Formats: sequence, C-alpha cells, structure tokens
Amino acid sequence: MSFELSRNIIIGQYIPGNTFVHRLDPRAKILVTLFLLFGISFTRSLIVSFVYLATMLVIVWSARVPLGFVLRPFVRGLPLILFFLGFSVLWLGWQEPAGIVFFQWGWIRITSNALLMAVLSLTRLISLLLLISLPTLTTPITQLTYGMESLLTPLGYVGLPVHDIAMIATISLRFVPILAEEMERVIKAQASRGGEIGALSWREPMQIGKAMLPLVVPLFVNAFRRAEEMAVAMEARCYVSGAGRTRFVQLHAHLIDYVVVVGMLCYVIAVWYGADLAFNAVLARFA
Amino acid sequence: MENRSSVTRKIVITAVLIAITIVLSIPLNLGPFISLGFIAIPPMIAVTILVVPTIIGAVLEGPIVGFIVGAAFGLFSLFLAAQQPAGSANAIFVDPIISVVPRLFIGPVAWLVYTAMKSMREQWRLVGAAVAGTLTNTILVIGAIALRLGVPFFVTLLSVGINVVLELIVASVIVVAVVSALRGRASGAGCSSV
Repeated sequence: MSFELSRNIIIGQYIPGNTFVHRLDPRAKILVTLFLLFGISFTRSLIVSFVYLATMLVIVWSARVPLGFVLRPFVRGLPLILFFLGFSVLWLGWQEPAGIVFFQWGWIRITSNALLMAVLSLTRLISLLLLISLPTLTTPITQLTYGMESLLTPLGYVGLPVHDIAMIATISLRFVPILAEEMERVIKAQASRGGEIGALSWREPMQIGKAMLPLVVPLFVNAFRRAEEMAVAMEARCYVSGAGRTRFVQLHAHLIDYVVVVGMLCYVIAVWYGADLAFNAVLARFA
Repeated sequence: MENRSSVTRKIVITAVLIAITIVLSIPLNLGPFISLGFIAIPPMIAVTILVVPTIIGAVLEGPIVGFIVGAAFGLFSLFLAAQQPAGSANAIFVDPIISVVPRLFIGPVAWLVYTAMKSMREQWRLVGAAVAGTLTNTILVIGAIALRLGVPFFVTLLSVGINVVLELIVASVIVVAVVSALRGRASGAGCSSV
C-alpha cells in the first residue's frame, strides 16, 4: 500500500493545450458553461437535448480533449445508471398520459412516454458530464477562481461578501496540499502503531468505524489549529475583510470573448425555442 | 471559543473545512477505504462522511458557514463526478440539481436542530445535529434523483437503506468526537474527554 496523498489530489485535472477553448477568458468559459447548464438541465424536449449533446461533442472535439477520457466516469457508472433508469421506465409505465403501449405483461408495462423520459435522462447525463468536465480540463483551477470572483463582483453591490468568498476559495485551495500532507502523516503514524486500515473488510463496519476515528479526529484538530494560527497571523497583519484589495493576476477579456459569450447565449436560446420547430418543419417536408 | 469569533476567523475556518472536504476524497485505495471519506460497501453507493465538515462548520460557526461549506461540498462533488468515480454511482452526480442543491440545506438544518435542542446535554445536541444533517443530505439527494431520473423515492431508499444507517452512526460518532476534541482544546483543558 502506498500513502502518497499529495500526488493524487484530484481537483483540477488540467490538460494543457493551446486550442481556442483553452485560450478563452475563464469568465467567458464560466458564463457559457452556465448558459449551457440551464439549457441542458431544464429542457423537456428530446430534440433540443440531442442538439445540445451534439454541441457538447463539437466543443470537446475542438478542445482536443480525448472523449474516452471524459466519458470514463459514465462508462464505469453505467450499470447503476441503467439500473436506475430501468426502475424509472417500470414506474413511469403506469403514469398517464402513457402514449403508445409497446409491451404489457402482468404489472410490467412499457410505454413510449416512459422510454422517452429514460432516453432524455440519459442524454442529459452525458451532456452534463461533458459540460462539467470541460472548464476544469481546459483551465487551471486558480484561473477559474479568479474568473468566479470577477463574475461575482456585481453581486457585491447587493450585499454579497464577494471578497470573503474569493478569500475562502483561495485559502482552501492553498490548504489542500498542506492538509493532504498532514493526513499522510497521520495515516503513517497509525500504520506504524499497527493500525490496519488496509486489511479490513467491508463486512466489519464497527472495525472500520474504529479505525477511522483516530485518522479523522487528528485531521480536524490539526486543521483547526492551523486555521486559528492563520487567523491570528492575518489579523496581526491588519487583514480587514472586504477592504479594497488589489490582485497580482489581472484578467483581460478580448473582443472574441465577448463575441463567444453573446453568441453562445443566442445559440442556447435559439436551440431551446427553435429546435423542435425546425425538426417538425423538416419532418413535414419529407412526410 | 465563541467570543473570539471574528470575520477573519470565520473565513479561515470555512476555508479549512472546505479543504478537509476535498482532502477526505483523495483516493487512497486501502481496502474498503476508497478514500478516507468514502467507504465501499459493495452493493451500492459508497458510504460517505463528506457531510461531516459541513455539519461541524454549522455547529461551531453558525448557519452561514455551514451553508458555504455545503455549497462548496456540492460543487466539489459535481466536479468529482465528472472527473473520477469515487463510487460506482457517482456519474449521476453530474446533474447540479442532484449534487449541489441538496447540499445547501445540510448546514442550516443541522444548525437549526442544534439550536432547537438547547436544553439537552451537549452530546445529544451534537448527535441530533449530525443525524439531521446526514438525513437532510440523504433524503434531498434521493428526492432529487426521483425528480430528475424518475426513479421512485422508495426504490432508491431501499437500495441505500443500509448505507443510511451506517452513515448516521459514523457521522454522529465523528461529529461528537471532533467537536468535543476541538472544544476541549479551545477551553484550555489541554486534553479532550474522548
């Protein structure tokens, strides 16, 4: 067994690159992600969600991110997702309106509307997976934090403590490697005293609980000690929350960033309202 | 402890609790420990103690800190779902309505229960807060799955039934142990009662 925690930290799996998606301003990326998020999450139409999925595939392709890599969590989770969706189809089979009944045997009834819902859920999951992984794959996490702060700034005028939130984000990202090291030390200390957390089986939940307590409690206590020391140090240096602070990294948006944001907003709205109409029009032409 | 609580202190403690949430999900692969925060119980979703930092934040520093830590926990689990599966079921958490929205309520609910049980003994208040926070997480997440994937509520509840009980026990024990350890240290007693 190995204890190298700091190597396995999983926030921000950034894949370096120099594509158009990589070069976009982080704020533009966050905004576009939010637009698409709303579109994908709330559409009830299968056609619209297919168009969004195709859009996501095009963006992933243009960012030169390997599709297999992005979809791996989905493939691994597929058995459970199918299990859930199977129940969902059986359950929705008895909801009205049912549409066309394909199959009925005893209490099992499979209807077109239930299948439609299942396919919609599946499409939505894949689109969301692609959408959520893109910003972190194509942007360093610190850039995303700065972008988030910059976007939240207008909310400061209505009383949201934007600087505090940004400070929390920055400090917590800095603390992750420190605490990972701390945890490594605690695990090693317990292992050297004969703590056998790797040898336990899931059939012994009480033992697992007992093994966990001496790992988790020191982690919290040490973290709080560090936090209090840091708070004292910050106050000693006259840190006042929300006082006008400047920052080292400045983000500069270019014309292309504005074009992308406005263009994607229009695109998402157009697909939301237009995809069904367009599809029906094409269908009417050929039918 | 309370009288020293300044804004700076709250900021730093919130940040540290978020960092703990992240650190608890670093993959370990030691037997049943997928990570320190996720314990694999084979049939279904892994048992998790990632709600614990949120509950502790709410109990020690109030509902706003609990809310922020919960929000960060939700966002983190959203990104985690898209990056690396910690449990077999994690892929469904790419939907923010399943992963982020339910987690916003953990802190405030835990704080409400903790405040409402003022007349009880401290240990029972902590257990109450832990149970309330964990149940809020479980019930709202299952509710969101029902809403988004159309899975009936009771089916998911049955399939995670054992996990819920385990999570409740583990979360209560850890919250009580950690908070009494922290209080013991802060009051200058030098050692905790645990």
